[in-house]
Amino acid sequence: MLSIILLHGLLALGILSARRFIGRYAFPVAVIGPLATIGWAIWRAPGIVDGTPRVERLEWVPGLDLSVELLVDGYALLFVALVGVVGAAIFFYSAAYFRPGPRVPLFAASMVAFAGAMLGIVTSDHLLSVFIFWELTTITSYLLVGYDDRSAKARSAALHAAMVTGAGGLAMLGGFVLLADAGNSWLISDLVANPPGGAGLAWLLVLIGAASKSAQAPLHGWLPGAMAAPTPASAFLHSATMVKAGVFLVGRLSPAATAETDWWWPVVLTIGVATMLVGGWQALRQTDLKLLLAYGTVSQLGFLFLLAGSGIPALAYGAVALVLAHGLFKSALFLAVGAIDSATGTRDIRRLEGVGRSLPWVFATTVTAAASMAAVPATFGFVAKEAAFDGLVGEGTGLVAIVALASVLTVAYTGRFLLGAFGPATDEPTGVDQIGGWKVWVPFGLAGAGLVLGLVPGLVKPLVESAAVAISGDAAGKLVVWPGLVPALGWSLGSLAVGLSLVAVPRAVDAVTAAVATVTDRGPSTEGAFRAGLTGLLGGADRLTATFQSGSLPTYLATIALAVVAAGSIPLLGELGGVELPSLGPAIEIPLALVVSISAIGLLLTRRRFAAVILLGGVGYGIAGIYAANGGPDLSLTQILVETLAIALFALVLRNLPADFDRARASIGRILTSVAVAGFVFVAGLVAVDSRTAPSVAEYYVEESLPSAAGKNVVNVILVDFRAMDTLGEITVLAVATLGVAALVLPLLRRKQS
Amino acid sequence: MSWLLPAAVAVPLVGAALTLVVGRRLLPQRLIAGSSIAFLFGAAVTLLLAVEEGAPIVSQLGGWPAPAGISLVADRFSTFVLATSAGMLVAVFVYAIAQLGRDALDWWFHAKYLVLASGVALSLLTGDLFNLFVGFEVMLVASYVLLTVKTDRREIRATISYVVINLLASAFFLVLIAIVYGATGTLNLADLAGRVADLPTGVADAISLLMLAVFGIKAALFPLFMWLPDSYPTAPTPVTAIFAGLLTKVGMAIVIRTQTLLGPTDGPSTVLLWVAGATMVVGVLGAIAQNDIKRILSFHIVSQIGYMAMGLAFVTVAGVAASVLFLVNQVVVKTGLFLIAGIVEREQGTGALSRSGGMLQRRPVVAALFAPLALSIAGIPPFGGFVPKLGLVQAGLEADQGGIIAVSLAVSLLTLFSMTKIWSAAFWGDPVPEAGRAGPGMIGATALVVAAAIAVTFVAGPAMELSTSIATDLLSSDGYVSSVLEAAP
Repeated sequence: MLSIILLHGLLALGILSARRFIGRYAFPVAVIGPLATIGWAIWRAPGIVDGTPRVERLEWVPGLDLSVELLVDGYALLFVALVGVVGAAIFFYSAAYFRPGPRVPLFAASMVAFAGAMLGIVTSDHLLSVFIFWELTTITSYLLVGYDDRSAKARSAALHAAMVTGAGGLAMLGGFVLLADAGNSWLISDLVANPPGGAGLAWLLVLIGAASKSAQAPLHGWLPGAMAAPTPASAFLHSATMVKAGVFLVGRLSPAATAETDWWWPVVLTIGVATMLVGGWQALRQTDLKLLLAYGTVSQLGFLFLLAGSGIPALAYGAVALVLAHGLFKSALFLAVGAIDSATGTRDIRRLEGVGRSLPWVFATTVTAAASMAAVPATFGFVAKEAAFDGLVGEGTGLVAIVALASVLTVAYTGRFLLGAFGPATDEPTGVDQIGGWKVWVPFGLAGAGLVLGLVPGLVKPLVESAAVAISGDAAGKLVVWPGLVPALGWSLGSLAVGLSLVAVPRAVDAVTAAVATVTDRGPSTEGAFRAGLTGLLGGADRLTATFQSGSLPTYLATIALAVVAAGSIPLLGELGGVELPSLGPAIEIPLALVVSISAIGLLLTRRRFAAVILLGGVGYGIAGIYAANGGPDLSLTQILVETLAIALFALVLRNLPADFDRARASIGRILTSVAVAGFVFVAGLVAVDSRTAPSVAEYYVEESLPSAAGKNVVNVILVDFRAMDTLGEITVLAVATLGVAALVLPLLRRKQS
Repeated sequence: MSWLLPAAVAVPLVGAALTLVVGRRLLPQRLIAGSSIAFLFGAAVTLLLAVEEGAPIVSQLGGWPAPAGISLVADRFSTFVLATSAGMLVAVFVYAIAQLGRDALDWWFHAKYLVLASGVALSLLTGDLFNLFVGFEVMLVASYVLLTVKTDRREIRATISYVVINLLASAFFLVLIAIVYGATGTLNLADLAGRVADLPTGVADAISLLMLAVFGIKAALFPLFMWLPDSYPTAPTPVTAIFAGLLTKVGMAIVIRTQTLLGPTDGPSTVLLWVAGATMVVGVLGAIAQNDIKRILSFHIVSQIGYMAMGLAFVTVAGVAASVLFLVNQVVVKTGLFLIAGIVEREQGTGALSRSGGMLQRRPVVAALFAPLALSIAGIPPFGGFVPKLGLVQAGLEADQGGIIAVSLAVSLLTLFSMTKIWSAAFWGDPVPEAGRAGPGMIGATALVVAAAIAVTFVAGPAMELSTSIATDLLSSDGYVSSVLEAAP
């Protein structure tokens, strides 16, 4: 399987790099991926269905237990087959759907990369490899939804989808890490065999991730928006495969989750039912065929989530059967809508008319697939739903009743879909162009497969059974054309009948949905909630950044100074007790200290530049005096030279500057900051020197200066020998600074001269 | 082999002097500068290979024994960071030649660039606190003059803020040195490790926190980061790229070195955890509030530094290892992202997102360069940035720090958000008129950096292993201390 996944990656890269030459062959090349998948599945199926899963492993970062570990059992095989079959069909369809253009290779590459990533999700046994592929599907979905990148709506829908599923993915990563920590293994197979206890948060986070990917209420809003993608992408990612990743995951994990938590099943049930009802209800209100299907997908995903997430073998059996059925009929319907769209130029049910007469094969396809969606007997949709209802009946009447209610909605929106596509137009009708080739026959084939399986479900029975056994240990259901007179049949035929009667009164349904909508639309829509959240976040970020990033240099300086002072002084507070003040040096230090202090304080207060220069000199000369008084005449001389030079230079510059500072008033804040810094340096210096116990390296310098370095002046020897590297660096600094000043000033002088 | 250490610092410096000697002749300048930087890269890689399996290589400058003289130390950590940084110096050098051309390049660009390279090498290799100050000064003075290639008003204003703040930082660094020397009587880092441990707790804590604050200014940790987004975006692209890729990371490498060597190592550091969280959050929120590519990326520099602080804050091998790998990956990714920002600016005449669009259609190759880096910085697998991020999450769990893990994951999402913002505005949408064309030199140099970033995926296993042994070295500093103090002059 690894090699198949890798093949998808290589195909994507190859198509991208050959984008200039590949022209109309992008999809014929891309389809190699799904075809290889199908071949692999057929080759490996017998062994896997017999109960010997195939295991593969690729080390990545052993230090983090990060590796790609695949385990293809019956459950994975079912999804692999789905990805391969639907993928191949859609790639053939796409070859006819797109006119060759410069951006088609990008689409083809994203699709084939997605197919590879999806295979990775469904075959991964290692939690982190699930995450790796999961994120890749998010990215490819982003690129595909935003394919029509000149449309702001498409870009925004792409963002919405990426953010919701991306957030879910990160929550899921958190859950995975916690789960692996609690269960001491990264392998799903281990965690399901020995479910870890006390990992409630982990399960919750994983559930959030799965729900976001599978568009469960209230996170479902991104899915209808994702219909901005070209129809083949919608068919592949946003109905047949990617959105089932969450269903897949809860199917794998729910036996363990329900064993270790008592809230999992009620929560999954609530989410699933809410999603079914919201999706079904919204589907009844759409006028765009594709959006109608999208909400239908939301509704179906709710059903699948509930079944797969239950951890109950009978429901799990229904889930796997329905996954297969839904993948077939929904992709057929999407592709048929794409065909109708390209024949008429619209998907609006108010304007479509006469499509059935002009495109009889498309009509046949759509009706067959829609029948499967509505679970009409003799379709695979019916067979699968019957299996699901059979399981639900065993779980109580309330549960089956509420699911039946959702099924009524399904039948109703299916009717709306068919009437809308093929019935009379209420608005100005469009013309219908003739189309043919893959665009017609691919959906026909998918719909036909649903019909064949509806009549001969035994063809996929081993696959469905081994999938159910793989996750629930039991094939607790059956796939039969006609179940006989069991309660489940009553529920499904009942909901079909009620649904059909609703179809018969479309105006009444419209009136009711419109009336209810006047109430429900007052609440926030999911899209609106996302927008509002985003706006709020951006507004908050703006305000926060404006606060920190004021652009005021004094504020920055004060913040830094106070942070440094706080960092250095808080730990010192406890050490102040026993500090001994050093004894005073020569008496001359007192007047010198006064000169330095008074000059420094005056410097803060003065408004005249000239006075400031003089006071600065006072500080410098005072310090030079302190050096001299402490036995450092050379240091003192250096300091005096530097001060004198500085004052002379300042005096020269001052001639060209105004006499007063612009805003020289020292504010309280600035004075306090200065005092804090000065106080900190003073106290920290005292405490530091006081806590010294070890001898200083200076003793080595004094001892070795003459014998080893042949120099009598220790300071000089330090500068040019012991620590010559420092001096070299500082010389470099000086040289660069000089050149820098010259580079700034010389052009100005030249400009002045000319 | 130990001669390579001073040579790595000196060769770029001598090269800088020589480029000035040859005057304004471009070809000799380029040859000298190119070979100096190539030497630095070669030396760094050689040293990395030499120390990877063994003890650190120490050079006692001037033949004076530690701790009296200055020691240069090549251990796994310093050479790993230096080798990566030097690789970026090479790539950006090629890009600079291709982008700036004869006119825009001022006559001593090469000298400034080489001095910067030398400063980076010295800062990473030195084993002496005061010499570190000198290394920083060399790096900084070169950065001051690199910021003013053009001398327009806006650029000079931004540079003045940068210079003033860094002068303040340097002054505090000197205060730090005075306090450290006052308390211990030594400046050699290895020697300090033992002596700081003997100090009263309060003094030792003050020293380590002061170091965090002083070096935190260079690393742009919260609340010391504000200077960065104000000054970086105005400089020419190669300059910003090298600042973004290297300078804050060198600062952070010093934070990691000093905190592990001199700071407390008994349990997670609460202060650093808060600083890390705040740096991530404030940085990423700043990024999503921007509308210019380089400004967005500049805020991300800050945000990503928070992740490195996060791993360090755990004070565990797993945490520090993840931080080290994160740092090295960021050196590459951040450099590359800024180079791409420069290409976009060149092609569209602006980096403002509101006046951008259609790059994917017009220049798919640029999009192909951007995508892997954007995904890497957002931590999307299988790109390189994911691995250290996963390491941080695992280390956090091990250290029982769930809060910061949640913060780091949320910040990841916002990082992805701001990358989609750049993608959506600059690469998608209606094309804006072409303002120029990035030549093969710019594209090629950027492609080198992107290739390095992609390579992280393939060498993630060994790289994580190396980072783990680096973290082990750092947290049990005996090996470092004894090799420095016992190395023969």
